[in-house]
Amino acid sequence: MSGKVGINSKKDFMKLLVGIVMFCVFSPLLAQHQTYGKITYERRTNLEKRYTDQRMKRMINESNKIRNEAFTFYFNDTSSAFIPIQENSPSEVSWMTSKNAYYQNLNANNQLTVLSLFGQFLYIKDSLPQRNWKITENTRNIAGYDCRKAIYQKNDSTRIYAWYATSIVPSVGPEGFCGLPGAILGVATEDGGIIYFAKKVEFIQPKPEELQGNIGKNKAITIKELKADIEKKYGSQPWGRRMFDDLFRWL
Amino acid sequence: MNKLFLLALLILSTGLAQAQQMKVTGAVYDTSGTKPLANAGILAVRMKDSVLIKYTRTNTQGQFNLTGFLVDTFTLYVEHPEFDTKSFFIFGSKSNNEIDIPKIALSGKSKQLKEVIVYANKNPIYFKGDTLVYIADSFKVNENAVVEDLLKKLPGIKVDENGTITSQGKQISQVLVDGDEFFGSDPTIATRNLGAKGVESVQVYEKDRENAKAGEDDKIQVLDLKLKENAKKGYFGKISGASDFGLFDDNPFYEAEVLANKFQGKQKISVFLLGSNTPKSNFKWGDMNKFGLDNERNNSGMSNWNQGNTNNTSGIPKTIKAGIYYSDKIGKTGKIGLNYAYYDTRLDAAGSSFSQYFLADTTYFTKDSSNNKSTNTSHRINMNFSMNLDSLTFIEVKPNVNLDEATTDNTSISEFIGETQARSLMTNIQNINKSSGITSNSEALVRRKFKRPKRELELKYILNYSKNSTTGKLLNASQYDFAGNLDTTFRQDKTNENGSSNNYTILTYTEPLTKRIKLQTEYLYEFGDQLQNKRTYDLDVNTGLYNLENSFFSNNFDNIRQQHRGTILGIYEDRKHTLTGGIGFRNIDIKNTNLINNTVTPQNISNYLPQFSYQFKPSISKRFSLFYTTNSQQPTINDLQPVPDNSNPNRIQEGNPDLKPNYVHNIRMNFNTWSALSGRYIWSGFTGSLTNNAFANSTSFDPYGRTISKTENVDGNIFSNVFAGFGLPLLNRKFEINPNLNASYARYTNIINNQENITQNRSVSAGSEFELKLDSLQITVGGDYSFTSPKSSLASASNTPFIMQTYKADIEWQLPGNFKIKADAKYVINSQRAAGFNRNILVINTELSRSFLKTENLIVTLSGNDLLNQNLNLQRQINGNVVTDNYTKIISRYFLLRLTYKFNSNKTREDEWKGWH
Repeated sequence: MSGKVGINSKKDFMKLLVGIVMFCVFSPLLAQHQTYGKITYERRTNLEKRYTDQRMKRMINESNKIRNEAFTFYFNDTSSAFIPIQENSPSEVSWMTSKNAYYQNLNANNQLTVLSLFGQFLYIKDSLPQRNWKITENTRNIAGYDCRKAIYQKNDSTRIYAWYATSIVPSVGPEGFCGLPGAILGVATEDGGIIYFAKKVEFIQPKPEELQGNIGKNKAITIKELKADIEKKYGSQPWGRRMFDDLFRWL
Repeated sequence: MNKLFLLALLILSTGLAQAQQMKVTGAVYDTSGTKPLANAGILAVRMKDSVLIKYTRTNTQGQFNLTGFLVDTFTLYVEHPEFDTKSFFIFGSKSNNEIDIPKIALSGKSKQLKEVIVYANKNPIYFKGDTLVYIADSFKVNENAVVEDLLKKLPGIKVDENGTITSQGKQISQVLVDGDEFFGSDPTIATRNLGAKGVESVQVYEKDRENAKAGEDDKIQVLDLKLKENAKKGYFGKISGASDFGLFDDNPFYEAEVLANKFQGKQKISVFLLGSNTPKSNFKWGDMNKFGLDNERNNSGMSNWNQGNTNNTSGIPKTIKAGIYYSDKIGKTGKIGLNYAYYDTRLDAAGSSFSQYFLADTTYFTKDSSNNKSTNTSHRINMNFSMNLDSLTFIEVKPNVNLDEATTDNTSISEFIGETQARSLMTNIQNINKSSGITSNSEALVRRKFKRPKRELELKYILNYSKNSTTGKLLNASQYDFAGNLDTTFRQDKTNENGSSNNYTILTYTEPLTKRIKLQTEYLYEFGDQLQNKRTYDLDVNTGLYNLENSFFSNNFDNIRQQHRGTILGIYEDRKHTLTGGIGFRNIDIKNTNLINNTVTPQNISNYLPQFSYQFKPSISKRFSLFYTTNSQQPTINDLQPVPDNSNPNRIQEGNPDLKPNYVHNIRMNFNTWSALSGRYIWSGFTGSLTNNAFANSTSFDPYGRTISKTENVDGNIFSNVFAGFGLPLLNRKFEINPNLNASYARYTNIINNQENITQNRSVSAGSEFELKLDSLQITVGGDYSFTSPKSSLASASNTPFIMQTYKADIEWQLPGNFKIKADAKYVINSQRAAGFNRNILVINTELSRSFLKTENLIVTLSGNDLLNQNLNLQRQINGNVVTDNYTKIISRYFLLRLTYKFNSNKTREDEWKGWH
């Protein structure tokens, strides 16, 4: 990497001067760390990568293979809520992607997950997931925030990338991801098949009811109980297990 | 990250409690070292695997206290968005577990150089510019290894069980073979089908992503397999042969099958061959999928949901099918396909039937026994070409040509019996026909999308062309029991020239009005011309030749039609509801010309064609839909041509040039729900149609019961059907019950001796299936009961209800030692039918197979079909006032010893097509 560094002309000097002045003016503002807000995430799923089954592939074509969906995320220093934004015009492949909601409580160390299983809701209450994050030296900017990349090795074959912003203090994130020193603004599977990116970060103090999941009269179970139930009912059928693999993709 | 490493080995000995726990304290300041920084991130990252052990933030005084984790060797990162990150290597130990870094001053952000990782430049791995190159032969793999096995051996490359490849921890997005995509975008097709021995080198490099979106990595990592010159190919296939070696009959049963795919670069060639004299007349559904025989699947008339029905059960067949498919890619998006198939099918069908003709005042019976021999040879050529001209424009051309030759030889002996049970007439008719023809159903399409989403313009052209000529011979002998002087014997020669060409041009434009509302407009133009020239020749006694034209049975007829149809459709779509509504207007101008006498029958018909649909989807697994459509069909040239067809002199059929197109209202309603976790489901629905100007037979009976029929328009034909079923899994889905219910009502009119006859059929059926699914054993047992009550207004005597019961059982059992047993049984009980047709049929089929070789690619199967030798084809047809019970002789018991060998170019286990898994 060569490229001369230095002030070559008067013009460059002026630019630098303006830069320094600007930095001084806006510096106190930038210094602020954020502890609450509203984030809009966009999720991009490449169905072709996501599904390897030939029959499923037949339903996927050039025009529908990329699915974009959006999620609203409210957070303050102790809680967060991750809620799918319902699509206006669903496509014939809408069912191929998950639409789960998450409510995290950092103080109580618990998480309520609302799984949407082909239109049926399942309520899962468990402690916050513990993940071993590998910290990398890669950084990138997401929605105006400098983020560091961390890697979660889910199992031998699955690695998930997350980008967290140091300047957003609460350890929260989309799709139940958390446990990094800053809010997670980006999550991606290693193959790029599913990517979450924050599109907009707003300073809005969320209302308490927005952070509260409501399970109504339904019974909440733990992930362990749900897994046992599915193993019992679908364990012997490979397609059945595959169907639920997706459900546990993030859990 | 700034690579400014600061090694801090600070030893503070307190040596008190929590000897195993680490504790790091400190305070963070800005560059000047005076202003404390709040909320700076403090991370402890383990050195050996980069795992984040613990993290915290500084308080408003810039202080932190990181504790609650075990002694370890780790990097402590201090990060703040406005400053460079600072790192400390900390080697924790029992005596070095409390560390205080009193003043951490962060330096300002600097533009850092991109990190460069350098590998040792030694064989067999080296860098060529930015490309990492592996020399394949340097890595030892097994004799029959595929590329995937090779990749697993390469340092830095990982392949998971799904075939996903990562290089240096980064996902490979694309696998190329000599710089081009292999079969489609699935990398495993290349890595699992190409032999490792054929690879010269494996290269990994980054390239720009096509159509990268904002926020996305614009580089992708590519793995390029450079093949040795002699290795750019592979194959897989299956050979199967079965016979009973003539042990039971002089004429042995056989089945033979060859299926093979060969690929070479982007080129793909499939060949197939099937020969049999058993009911097996097509390839298995899974094989058609695996070998990509799309046209054979379409030609078989099978739907997706009727996968098992590859058998011909209408007589004694003999089948040969052979063909070759070729496909290749042209440029980046162009696809070309060329398919050729040859069919030779022969069928000997011997059967008998008993028909009852119910009239207002009397009843006739006929007993028919017939013997039909038919042969069909056909050459089918299908081509297709498609290409994206640019990112918005798509073109597709699909020409198709079929060349057919057919011969039929039908003999039938009919006995006419009056009400008194006395035979009055017996006929013996033979038709020998030979025909040849050419058919083409071709399509061309251009689709253009626009920058605005959902806006679309499509132009489609369809050509349906056919030309066919038949020469035939009719021999007829009639013998009158009470009037011997009327006995006749005659022969006629016939020719029939048919030509038809229909051209459709359809232009569709879709415009999004708002986010949820679209408007679709369609214009269709049809131009069709059908010609039929039918000639009948009698014996010229002077020459002894059959060249004396019989003008009564000869005609030349032309039907020209032009249709304009415009449709406008509004579509509303939101998350739960889809609503469409619209109306079409069409005008059709028909000119029927009798070319013999130049009489023209013009018709000009205009119709409105409304349509409506509503879909409600409260959730993904729950759906209600309602459709209402209208359509109109035009009569065929056979229905129009005003000449009597005496190919069966007992049943003369005459065309009607005044016949109008029909008009049909259809209504369809469905409700489905499914619960994924319990596996319970319900499906139910209703279909109904009302047809006006329907094509109906107007039949006149002569005193013996012979008929002359003509097609006429009638109003008010109704067909309706309600159905429902549900699935109830029990015992953790090891057991499932699937009951179903079906009821139908049909009402239609025909005309008998110039009187309207209204037939109403009501039928109800109910059944259930019980399934047991264990890992190595699957059993299905089921039964159906159906009750049909026909009612005819003119002939109450035909109103006898009848019952059919069907019971089925099916077992599949995987045994140790590579043995497998399959068996199925079907028992059918018919009742209230004509004497001799109330047969109860029990059919049992069994199969025992064992696979051999390490790859299990060799399979020996012994199968026995219809062990009890009971199979026959019995059918009851009710058509207006006619009730016919048919019996067709079909192949019943036979045994086959089958040898199947599956193979591929890698000498590995060749799996069956698994489909839904």
